[in-house]
Amino acid sequence: MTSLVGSSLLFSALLLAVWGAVASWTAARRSSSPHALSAERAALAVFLLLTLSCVLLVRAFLVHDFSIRYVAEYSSRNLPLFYLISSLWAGQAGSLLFWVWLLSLYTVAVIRSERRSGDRQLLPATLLSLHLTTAFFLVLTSIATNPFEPLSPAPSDGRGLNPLLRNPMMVLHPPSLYVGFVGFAVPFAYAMAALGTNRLDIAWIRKIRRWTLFAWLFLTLGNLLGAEWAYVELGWGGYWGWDPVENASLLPWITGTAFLHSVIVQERKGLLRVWNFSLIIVTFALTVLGTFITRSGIISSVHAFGRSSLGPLFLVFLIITLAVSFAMLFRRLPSLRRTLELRTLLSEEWAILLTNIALSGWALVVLWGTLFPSVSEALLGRSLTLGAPWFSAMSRPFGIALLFLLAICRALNWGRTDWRAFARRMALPLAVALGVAAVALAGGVKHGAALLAYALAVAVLLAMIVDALRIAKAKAKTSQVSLASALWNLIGRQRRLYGSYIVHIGVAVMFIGIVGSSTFSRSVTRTVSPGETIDIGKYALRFEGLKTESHSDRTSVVARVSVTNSGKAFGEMTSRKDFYPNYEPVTEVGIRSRIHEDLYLVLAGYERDGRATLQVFLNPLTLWLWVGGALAAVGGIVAWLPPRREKTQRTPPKKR
Amino acid sequence: METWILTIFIAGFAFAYVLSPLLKARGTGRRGGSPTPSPDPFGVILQEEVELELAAGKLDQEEAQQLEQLQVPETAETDEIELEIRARRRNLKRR
Repeated sequence: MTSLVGSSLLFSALLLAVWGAVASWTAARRSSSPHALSAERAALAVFLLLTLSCVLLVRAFLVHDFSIRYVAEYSSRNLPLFYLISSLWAGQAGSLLFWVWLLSLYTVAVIRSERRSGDRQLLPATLLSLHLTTAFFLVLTSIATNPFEPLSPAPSDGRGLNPLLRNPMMVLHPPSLYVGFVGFAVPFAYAMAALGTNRLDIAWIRKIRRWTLFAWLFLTLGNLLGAEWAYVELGWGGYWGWDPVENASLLPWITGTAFLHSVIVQERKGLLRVWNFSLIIVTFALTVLGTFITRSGIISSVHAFGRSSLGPLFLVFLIITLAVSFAMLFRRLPSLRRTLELRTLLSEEWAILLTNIALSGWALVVLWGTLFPSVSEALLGRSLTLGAPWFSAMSRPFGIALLFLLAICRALNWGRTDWRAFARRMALPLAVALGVAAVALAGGVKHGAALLAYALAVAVLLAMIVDALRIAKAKAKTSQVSLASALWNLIGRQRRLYGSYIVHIGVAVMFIGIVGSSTFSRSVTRTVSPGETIDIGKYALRFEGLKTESHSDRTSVVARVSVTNSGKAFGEMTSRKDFYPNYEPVTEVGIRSRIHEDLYLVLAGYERDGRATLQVFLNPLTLWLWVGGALAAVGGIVAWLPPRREKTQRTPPKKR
Repeated sequence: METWILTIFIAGFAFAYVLSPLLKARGTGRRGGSPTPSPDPFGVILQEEVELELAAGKLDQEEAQQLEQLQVPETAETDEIELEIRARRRNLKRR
């Protein structure tokens, strides 16, 4: 029954999405209100039908309805409630259903937002893109990979959830990424609407600002949660292995970040109009490419559990999207071209332009490295992979360039900057940065790129704080209030500006963590008997022995280690191997996180005689990556929130 | 087969809701028109940002004026006019 109803709901949603696209097209062509309203209603109906589908599938997981193949493949009776609900996106069919449900939710939110704004001229054309994208994903989920496919005879228990996915981070990581990925469909749809209706002014830029920021925010969170998951679950001591699927979610983040910055130049100077359209088209295409890489299995990845035969369909959709979008852009080129008015290189618009070039260059390098195995296979007949060291080495110059631009950009004016004013603004950040570099050098840090990165990160931190205070001082002076009051008022009112300060401070802090953990990490691997010790840095890890634990869903072999730090007791750490039925064993690592370094323990293997092979990592400053990421997310939220309304002074009614 | 019958049933209900604006419009002959747009709150915020930058010495008057001009929305019509002006200029140059 669930299978029957679920499939019918999906087919109905597909028919409605197709009608929505037809009605949107007619509304946009003929300015027909009834068709526009019909397209809006179609979006609402699709959303309701897909919500029902999701509820139905979650219910099937909760009641262990193994007559549904998807439920039988991704859950079992002993799975905790938390993971039963998240099983919705554990496999491909459910992920796509969740994806298209999110898209329908975004579509309804866009309609609501447009109704509130009152300016609905772009809405029909915007809905056309959204309906077409929804229809494509509904074709996939209702025909190609239906989550309600029946299974007969139904087994008494399911296969269970992949143990790698039994992690709280993994419950949050995919939805965050999906919210980010799908979110970029909205600015893309507005861009297509602007091109289609020839409304090429800044109206569409203003409309998409918060949508883009929202998508970027969740993509940032998704990537961070994925990195955290890799750090605690994959057991190789790091958090970013430049895996193709990791890169696939990094790529739209990079171009999305570039877009967030370049639209400011269009808003402030009316420039980069063609570039902005191109960037949002590419960003949306990269979200589709990301799904294609994950689902096609063309490149081997840690996300191999996501492989399927849907790759060619995604590829066709990707090619059509790119061809149609760029054809529309090409058609409007005569109206879009503006001459770049160069007053001086020392200006904020040039800093943003260079930031865009650096981000785009980085994206191209990551894309090339990611697709290299497929390209080499096509050209040479054998698949060659570019490893993490290649990506790290190639990304380093871009990271340094971005930090440098970040450090100087807030000291620059729009239009032109006086050299002396620029030098005065940069004096404090530069002096402190040089001081930090000198202290680090004296402390034994000999790595040139790391020293430069630390100095620049400190310069960014200070440059942001100095600029935020300078603006607040100006506000305090003009409004004749205290500095603290002006600052508070500005954080509430100028949320985009002050949110960006927090984001950039977060990015600088993240760089401190990334440089520390990637440059100065070290590790020791040894096979030890109980009572033997492994030394790393100031730590001594004494292997106490192995023990076996039985749980309702798994059996675990646990290695216990007691740690001393410079001779003082530092507690006990454990790492274990979990054995789940139907799956390969997985390793759970032990981590002791401190402000300046992480001690990271992995049970790599064990012998029957009680010996264990332990791998110990000392990762400096890793904690700052998560702190910086959290700050960047907070800044993103501040920038996304609508501005606080100014209090209007009420005049008392006149007495008669 | 059962799936298709149920699909027709569900989609039928949904389409009755979705198509009703078109059926009503046919009765009343209503077409076209868009509501008047309300002012964009972010335009106000940008204006405040510019004022702050002027006060903090991060922007000069010339830039501020240029920015103000940019905030005037272009319409499809103005773009068409611009294209026509360009075409006429090109023709004049050729002559």
